[in-house]
Amino acid sequence: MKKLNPAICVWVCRLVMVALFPSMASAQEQKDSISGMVHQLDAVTVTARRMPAKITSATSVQVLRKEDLKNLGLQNMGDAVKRFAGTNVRDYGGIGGLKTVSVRNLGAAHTAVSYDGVAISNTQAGQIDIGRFSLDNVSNLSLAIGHDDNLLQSARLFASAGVLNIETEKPHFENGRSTFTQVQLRGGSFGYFTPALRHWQKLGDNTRLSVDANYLRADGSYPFSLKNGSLVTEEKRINSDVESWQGEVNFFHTFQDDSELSAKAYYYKSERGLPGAVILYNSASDERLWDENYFAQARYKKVFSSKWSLQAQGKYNYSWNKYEDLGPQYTGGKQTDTNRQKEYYLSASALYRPIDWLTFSLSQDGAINKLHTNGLNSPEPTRYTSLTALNARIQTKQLKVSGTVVATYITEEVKAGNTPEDRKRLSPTLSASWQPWEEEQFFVRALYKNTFRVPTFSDLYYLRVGNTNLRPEKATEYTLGLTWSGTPFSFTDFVSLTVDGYYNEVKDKIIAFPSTYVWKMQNYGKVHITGIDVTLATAIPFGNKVNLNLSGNYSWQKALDVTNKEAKNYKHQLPYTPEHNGNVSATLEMPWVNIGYTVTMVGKRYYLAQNIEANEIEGYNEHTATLWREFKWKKCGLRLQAEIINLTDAQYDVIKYYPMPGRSWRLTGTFNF
Amino acid sequence: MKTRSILMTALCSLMLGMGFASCSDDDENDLNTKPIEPETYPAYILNEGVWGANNANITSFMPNYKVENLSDVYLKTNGKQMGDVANAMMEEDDNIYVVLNGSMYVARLDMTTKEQARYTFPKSEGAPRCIDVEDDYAYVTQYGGQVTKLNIKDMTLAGTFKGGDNLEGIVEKDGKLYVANTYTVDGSNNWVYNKEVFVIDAKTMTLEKTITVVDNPTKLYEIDGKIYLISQGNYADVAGALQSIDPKTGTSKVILNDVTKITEGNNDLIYCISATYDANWQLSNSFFTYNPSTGAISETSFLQDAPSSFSTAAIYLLEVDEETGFIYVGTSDYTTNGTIYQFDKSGKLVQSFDSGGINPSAMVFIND
Repeated sequence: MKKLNPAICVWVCRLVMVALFPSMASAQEQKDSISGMVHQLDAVTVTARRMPAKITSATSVQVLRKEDLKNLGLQNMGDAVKRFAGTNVRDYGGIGGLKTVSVRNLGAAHTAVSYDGVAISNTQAGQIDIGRFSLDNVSNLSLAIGHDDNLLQSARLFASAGVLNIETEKPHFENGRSTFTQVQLRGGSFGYFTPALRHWQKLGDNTRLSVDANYLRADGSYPFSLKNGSLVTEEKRINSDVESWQGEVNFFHTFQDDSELSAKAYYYKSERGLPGAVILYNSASDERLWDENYFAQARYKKVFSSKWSLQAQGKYNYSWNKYEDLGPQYTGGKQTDTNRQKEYYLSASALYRPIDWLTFSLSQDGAINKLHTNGLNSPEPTRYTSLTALNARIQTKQLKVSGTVVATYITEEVKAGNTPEDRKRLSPTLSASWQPWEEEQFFVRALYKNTFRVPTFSDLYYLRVGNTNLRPEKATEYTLGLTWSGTPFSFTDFVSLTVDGYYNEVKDKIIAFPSTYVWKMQNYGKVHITGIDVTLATAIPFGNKVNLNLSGNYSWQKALDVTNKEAKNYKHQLPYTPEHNGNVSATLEMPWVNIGYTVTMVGKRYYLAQNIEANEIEGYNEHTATLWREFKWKKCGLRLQAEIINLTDAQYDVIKYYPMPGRSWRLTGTFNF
Repeated sequence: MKTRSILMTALCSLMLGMGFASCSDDDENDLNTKPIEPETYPAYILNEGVWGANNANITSFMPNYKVENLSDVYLKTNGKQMGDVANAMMEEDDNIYVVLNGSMYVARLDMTTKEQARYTFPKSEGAPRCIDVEDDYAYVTQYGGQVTKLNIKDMTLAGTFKGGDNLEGIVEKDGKLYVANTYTVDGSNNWVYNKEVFVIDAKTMTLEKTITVVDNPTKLYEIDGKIYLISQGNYADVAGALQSIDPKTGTSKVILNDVTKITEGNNDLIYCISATYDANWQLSNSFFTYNPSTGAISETSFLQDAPSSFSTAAIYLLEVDEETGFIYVGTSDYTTNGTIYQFDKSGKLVQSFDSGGINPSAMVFIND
């Protein structure tokens, strides 16, 4: 193991000194710091804030709140989502590297990503790059396997096998203030620099406005060790730079009848290098990607009575990207692919609760998706989607049973080539949560969910590879779990534990299937996935001013390819699926300085389909340490934070030949007034 | 108490879980660079590997013995991996030549696969594809429209030809290079399939003439003094075809459509495989022979007891050892190691074995 870089040590020491010195002078204000706040809150609130998993929900819902995201030094959305049990994050390394999430190995296209309640779509590729979303303005990040207990949500979220829900922070004003402004500067290794600005404005008693903007740049030129047989060479990642601008404006209004309207305008633009896999003896890397995305969305919510509620949502989304590669193999020395997607989306949901223990809801979504690509024979597909979700829930004091049926109808038009047949399908879900003893926070929960993903535009129309005869890829989930929370030890504030066992099946998996010359998308694969997810959390106070929060999770998973009995990978573990993985997180809150520490542990995996030694990737442990301190002067606040990422300088790949950065650092200063 | 015991069990599980990700066992300490005796390894298989995985390799076996557990002989001999996507391998005058498409080099190996000399292509040039060696020179086609001529002794540059788009197959015959100019991707991302084979003077590396052929020419063969070409067609309304090329007249003639692989077979025949697809892109292979002397095509397979899977498998390799008459067919699913099927001269299956890598595409035989 390498020694800590002396420069990093000096910086950390300086930061600790800066943090310690003013603490004496500001002793009177310590009650306003995070540690002070925690103990002013009642015990129930503390418990709720710290628990990383909802124990009362019928499906597995894991949560990371704003303070967890900050205090643990999580680098990006992908880094945060890795903390959830049962997730598989494909991380191609570096700040600009693609990061996608798959829930319990069902595939990234089966996992919906919701941004403030509205699902993000990518009809072309099917998977969402979660790496592009900033963690800075996230108030709540949750992962629901199945869907969460909220019945008043769009049909799209009921239709997915799992939902990653990103909720941004809403403006809130303290001490009669009507404005809040925050300036943040963050810098780190490999040319990483990102300033961010936030402004909240109260516009009257019932109206609030928020503006968030950030800029990010990084060279991404990090060193790594390359093993080649018995040789080990020190290399540097090239063409891994990224530059992006991101901003959003949010508007919130509460009408006199208590109905709520929220609206968001979002803009994102980026340019990045795509370093690609590290190729032995060839360091050339010229691929680049430009992205632009803007959308406007609005949500209206009204509670008519204790029996009736309504929610309506609308969104217009525009996304464009340009991929460019250089090389003499292209005419003019350059290949350029451009893709432009547009989406028009409407959703309405109504909730009816005729009697206390019975609730119904109906959600209807309609979407139009269009894709334009460059090239003479672009099919210019347009997809019309109708999703209808009917839900019913019976809830007594100790039992909660929910049933959902999602009806899907999809039809498509193309300007060139074949049109796929219309798709009609019903997808049922049944979930239950039972509390055997009213006095014990102990629940038994179960889930059955049948979902599917329709072929993406790339699956259907990609030049030469696309196949318009594809059927949807089907997924079935069965889960049985136990959840518990209590205070079994006098020295803990609480302990919460969840254990879920599951069995999933994916069939008609859509894959690129090779033959002698022609690769075609086909419904070929079949996968059986069996696993156990365990989460555990506790908080231990040491006196009045020191608090230790511990959480961890462990996943065991067997994801076996059962497509073809004759194949050499029959019943082999899917690529990039460790049998064992887990995380441990700890935050130690103290009056003088706060410490966060996380360890991610991933067992050995295979990077190709056949489970042979040649295809094995070693397991790894990655440690991240964070120090932070908050200061308050009247109406101003300052937070200083230092992080050392990959403390042990572990050299590892998440995706083979996409090396992850070794030890690096990050410093953040956040000033608000 | 119950809840406590549940908690303790869970804690123990979590602690146990912490240990599994510790670093793996030591890193391939068993690698050695001890030369392998040539007579021990009389046949080599080139496994192309898959793009971006740096898993191209060479494995070896003894044709007259039961074959088991092939391993990467290049890695053992050289102490390093061969690299990314090996596009071609051939033997000439007791040297083996390999072309690494992803890793952008061509190397000369001795008959134990020990690397003797290497030429790395500049980053500004296209990736190398195919090779032919004649006398003192190796000729390598490249994408981007280039043929590079190398002194085989030290693999240094001896000349270049620039022309065409993406060049694939190459054969040298009587001082002329026959080179397939396959396709290009134009500025609007459209694939344009060419219809030409270049005839290049090997000495001066200048273009002599262009022969018009079926769309998308890819592989060139010299069999018994004659030149054959396989074009892949345009995957739409123009089928791929096996063609013969007449060097004298500079013309090509279609022998049969849909042929994907040929090799010089036993009894002066050419063994052929054709592939067709149905409306759902399901593959169907046929095995047959072509008699170059009479021009007769026999629908009878040159394999007597081919596995039933051959009719739909991706056939990646077809080779015949002219000394022993053994026929080798390699199949691939592009994701797992390939399988080599060994047939005797009469086409009877002798054995099948794992190729030790992905996409087995070529073999060389050492019969000394």
